[in-house]
Amino acid sequence: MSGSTHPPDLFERLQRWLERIETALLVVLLAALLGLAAAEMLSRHLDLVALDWTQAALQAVLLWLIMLGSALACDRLKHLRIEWPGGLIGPGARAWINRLLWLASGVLCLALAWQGLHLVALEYRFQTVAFLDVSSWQVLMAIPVGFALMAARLLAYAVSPALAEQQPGAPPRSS
Amino acid sequence: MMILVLILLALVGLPLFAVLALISITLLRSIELEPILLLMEFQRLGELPELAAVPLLIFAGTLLAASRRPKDWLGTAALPASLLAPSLVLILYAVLAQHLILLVGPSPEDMFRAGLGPAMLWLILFGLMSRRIAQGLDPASVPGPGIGQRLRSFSWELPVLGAILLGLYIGWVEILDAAVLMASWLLIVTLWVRRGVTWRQLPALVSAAMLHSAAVLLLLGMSLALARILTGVGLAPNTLYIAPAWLAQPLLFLLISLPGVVVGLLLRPVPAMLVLVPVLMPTVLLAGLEPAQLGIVLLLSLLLGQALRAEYSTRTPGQHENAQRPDRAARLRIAIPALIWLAAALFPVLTLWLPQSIG
Repeated sequence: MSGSTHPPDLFERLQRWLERIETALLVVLLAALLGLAAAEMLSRHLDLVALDWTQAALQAVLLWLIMLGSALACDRLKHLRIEWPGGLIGPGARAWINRLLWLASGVLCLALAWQGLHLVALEYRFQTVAFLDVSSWQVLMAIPVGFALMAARLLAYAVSPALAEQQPGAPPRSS
Repeated sequence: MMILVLILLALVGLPLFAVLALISITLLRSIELEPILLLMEFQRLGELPELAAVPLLIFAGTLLAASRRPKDWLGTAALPASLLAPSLVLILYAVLAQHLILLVGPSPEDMFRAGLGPAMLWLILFGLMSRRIAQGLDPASVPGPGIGQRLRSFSWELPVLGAILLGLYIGWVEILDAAVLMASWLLIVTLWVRRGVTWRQLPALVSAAMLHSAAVLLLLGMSLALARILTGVGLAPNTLYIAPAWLAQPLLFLLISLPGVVVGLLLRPVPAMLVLVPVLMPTVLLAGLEPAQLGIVLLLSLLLGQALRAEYSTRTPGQHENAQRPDRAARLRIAIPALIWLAAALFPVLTLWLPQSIG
């Protein structure tokens, strides 16, 4: 996928579109976070009761930002991990170890996405309001969506022969 | 057994969020509880309003880095920067401590004040020994006489950011307010005043900053969940079991923070702190140690580990064998964080006088 000279196939085009959508959503979420945090700051200092929902909205935006950002971090293999200096392990063995690690992480994310759906279903039953007209289950949807996107990326790394050479922390593949 | 396998997987590079999640699930399974409890604890991450400061501060840092040319202007004195506001690692420590000590732990502002004394001591020692230390370094990485000119090139940023940070130390602004003001000001300066970043470049910068923030906050969420599970089910490992009763408090600080030196060799301070705190905090509470002091002592032990890693990972066999001066310089670069680590553990006044006098 990365740096290859052949024209992008359907999977690669889908991948690029997904990345663009995620980037656009992250820009919107950061703008919302900045705006809401500014509103929250003003309402706290100026005692504006009309803006008392901003804190709950801020928390919802933050949760979505964490989960979508984590999915993008999986795409770029930027999750925090122990890195050894120098080449203690040869590149061939490293590629196989990486596959095993991505497979394990991908399966875990899939399981967490499934558990996340249970959490959303639980919250749906109570129909709690998070802020304004937004329900708590809609906010919590970030968890299964985020973990599912992470699982898709990690499992793609685990099964794709081309991606197995990709080193964690390396520059992004397509952008 | 399973925990040992997970530690081994962590050592070969399994993402740390996965390691903590798997440890939590293993612990929950061992007492026949459902894994959904992990996510119930994880989603409480959204209940911590100060955390909104993290993506904003990382975005501000990304903007500053993207628009500026001299990225090494602090040179090798950059290590103590993590002791000063708005240090990400201190914010995360404060959030963890507050969450685990039922909201009576130190605030991020308290942690910045606690870090000021050791940071000043570090800078004084560094200043006194700078000539000797610089002998072992690449001359290109050492700030030259143009430091004044470099500072002047930050004329739009430094006064405003300095005022915001001063407000943090004095207590006029909180961390979230400071993050909003810094991100907004840097956005204005970068886009409209300096034009160092174009609108077209902005989405790439946002996604770079957000994926970094998300990686940190995802790990924080798993760390909080693990800590809650450990304390909730009474499985927290306790260093006090192996510590003799007569052990004085300063020595207990050193004993508790000693793993930080080892972990600091493997991980950067932010993930290292997020991995260590859930395991260590129950001991801190039982021993009645001051959490603000422990946070700084722990961070200093991590910085010592980083300094050791920086010295020894860049060496090639035979390097410095015949050179007396660079060896002495290398020893000094390790001795400074080691000395400050000891001082912060032995003399609580170094870390606690400012938070106690202002807070």
